[in-house]
Amino acid sequence: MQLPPEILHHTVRQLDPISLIALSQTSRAWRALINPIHHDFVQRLLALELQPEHGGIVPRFTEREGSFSFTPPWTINGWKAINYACCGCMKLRTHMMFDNHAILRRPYRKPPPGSVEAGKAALTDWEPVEPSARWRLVQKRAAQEEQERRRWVKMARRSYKPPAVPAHPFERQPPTHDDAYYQEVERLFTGTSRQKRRCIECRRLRGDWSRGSLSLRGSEEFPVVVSRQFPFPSLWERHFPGLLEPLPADKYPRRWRGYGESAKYTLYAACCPSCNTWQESSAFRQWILHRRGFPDPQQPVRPLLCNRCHLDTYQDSALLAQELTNGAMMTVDLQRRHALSCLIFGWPFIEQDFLGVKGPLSKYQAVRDEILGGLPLAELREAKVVLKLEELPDYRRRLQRYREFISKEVDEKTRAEIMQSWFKLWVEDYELIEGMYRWLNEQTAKLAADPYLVLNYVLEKGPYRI
Amino acid sequence: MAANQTLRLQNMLNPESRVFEVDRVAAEHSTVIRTILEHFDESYLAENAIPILIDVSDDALAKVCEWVTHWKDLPKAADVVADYSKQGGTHGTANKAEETEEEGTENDVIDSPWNVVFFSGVDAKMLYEILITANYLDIKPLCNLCCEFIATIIRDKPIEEVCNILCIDMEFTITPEQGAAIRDKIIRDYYR
Repeated sequence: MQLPPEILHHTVRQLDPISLIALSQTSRAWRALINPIHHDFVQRLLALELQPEHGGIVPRFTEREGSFSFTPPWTINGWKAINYACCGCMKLRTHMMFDNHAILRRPYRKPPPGSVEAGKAALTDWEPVEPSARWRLVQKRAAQEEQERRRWVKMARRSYKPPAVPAHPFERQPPTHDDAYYQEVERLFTGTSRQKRRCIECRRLRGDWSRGSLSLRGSEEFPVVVSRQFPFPSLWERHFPGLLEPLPADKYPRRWRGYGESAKYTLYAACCPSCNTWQESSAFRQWILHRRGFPDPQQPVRPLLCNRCHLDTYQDSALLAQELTNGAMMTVDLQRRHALSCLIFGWPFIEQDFLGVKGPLSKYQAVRDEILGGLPLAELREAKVVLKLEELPDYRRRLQRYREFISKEVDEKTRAEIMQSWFKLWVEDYELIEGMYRWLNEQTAKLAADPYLVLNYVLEKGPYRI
Repeated sequence: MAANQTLRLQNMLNPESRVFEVDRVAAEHSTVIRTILEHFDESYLAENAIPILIDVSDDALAKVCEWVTHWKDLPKAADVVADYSKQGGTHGTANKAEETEEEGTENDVIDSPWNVVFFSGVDAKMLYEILITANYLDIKPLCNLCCEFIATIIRDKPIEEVCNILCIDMEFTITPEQGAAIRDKIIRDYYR
């Protein structure tokens, strides 16, 4: 500190926002020299969220005509370690503490490397002037940047040339903008309003629920926020992650294999009115939110409490255990019923092929009796049959006979006519569907055998804590 | 005056100080020496060493001489000012292009790998002496380079390490137990 002030000022100007605050916290002399204002702390927090060790990786949003892709992959585990800065409580918080707008809208996203906003994390805008003058400088710079962005938009609009209209109506529409345009938009506009980002707790304390917003549901007493959609292999995996051992990917029938990537479930964050902590909606034992929306908290007889508060309030672990087990069994049962419908899917088609004079297999009535004889065909047609585990070998034997018949006794043309589309998939994957059905039955039995299995899992693992 | 004239510099505050010989072109990086050269004739400077009136070691002075000698062909700050006045320009927006060009040249100096080698064996005390010598002699590029170097070495460092590097007595001290409690609180609050 024996150096001339201009040297010290010049050194401080070369720092990044994180080091600026670190240096101001070393001694009183540096503190007096730097005299950081709120803006410097905000800049530091926004720089921290871009560092991999604090904020996790910076998600990349690639927007093109009609498509929107993400890096890292849009999965719950891929996004687990990504934190965002809340400039209300000045903390880095997990992405689940923010609504969709605060994460996905361009001005609130983390800026990618090379963008204007990412450049601000490398060098502070500190100047050796009084706090009020600093604030004016900050405002002036922000106004200049806004003006530059507007100028760019004007220029882009002026130089815009609409793409040529396709000669044929079925011809693919050419893109309205090229890649360079999107890269420039990304560079200039991403993350420009991050200082306005607030976590849902700050928004709750600010009273945003009384003003109303698309992503804010529930009420002031029981606030609920619509969070992001993530793919899960099944409904019970979405509500009870890790409770049951998952079925290996290669054991899934081909029809299901895409579900893990494509079936998306919306997550909700809700604040427990008793302990005031934000938790995923499953902590409130609401299992089918994705279909009905969150229930009105005024309607239930009992207020919705999180699992722990429920236990503390009612002191009835058996009641909670039963409620949780019922929920888990209901979610498993949904998939079990789906598997059952797939398992019996093909039998009515086989029957149809043997029927009448026009049926492709109508001349093989003797084989029909061998394959379909004794089956509850009317119930199978209406999908009302419930297959017991002990009946499965009989059905498998009949299908095996059908396969032999189709491959050896039927001519190639008829076979090609019959073995098509979903039916072909059903014939080929029957063992896999049956295996899955058996496995889901085992899971149901496992849940029924231990009434406290789900309760212990919830209390020990705390899977819903945000 | 001869362009290849050799000037002598000596630290007058230290009687046992060495006399350093520097090319005139290199020494002109210093605004102070340029002013001296304008006011004293050649014969006087041939007989007498230019006095350095600042309490620094010979090693630091040698380092500064080494730097100016290496970068003697770099445009001098005064040359840039002279160019501006010749062109009738001001330091305002009209000559932005020249300014940018000049900044580009200085950036080249800052990014040069030679400077990395130059600063590689320099400790905090030596860096401080180089900086105050550069400031005393008014060698702007070297001053900027030292500031940049200091900023680089304290960047991304925790407060304790910054204090060690800059030889600062930490005034906002906390006990290890308090530190652990704060860290726990941060982990609990920030990363929950």
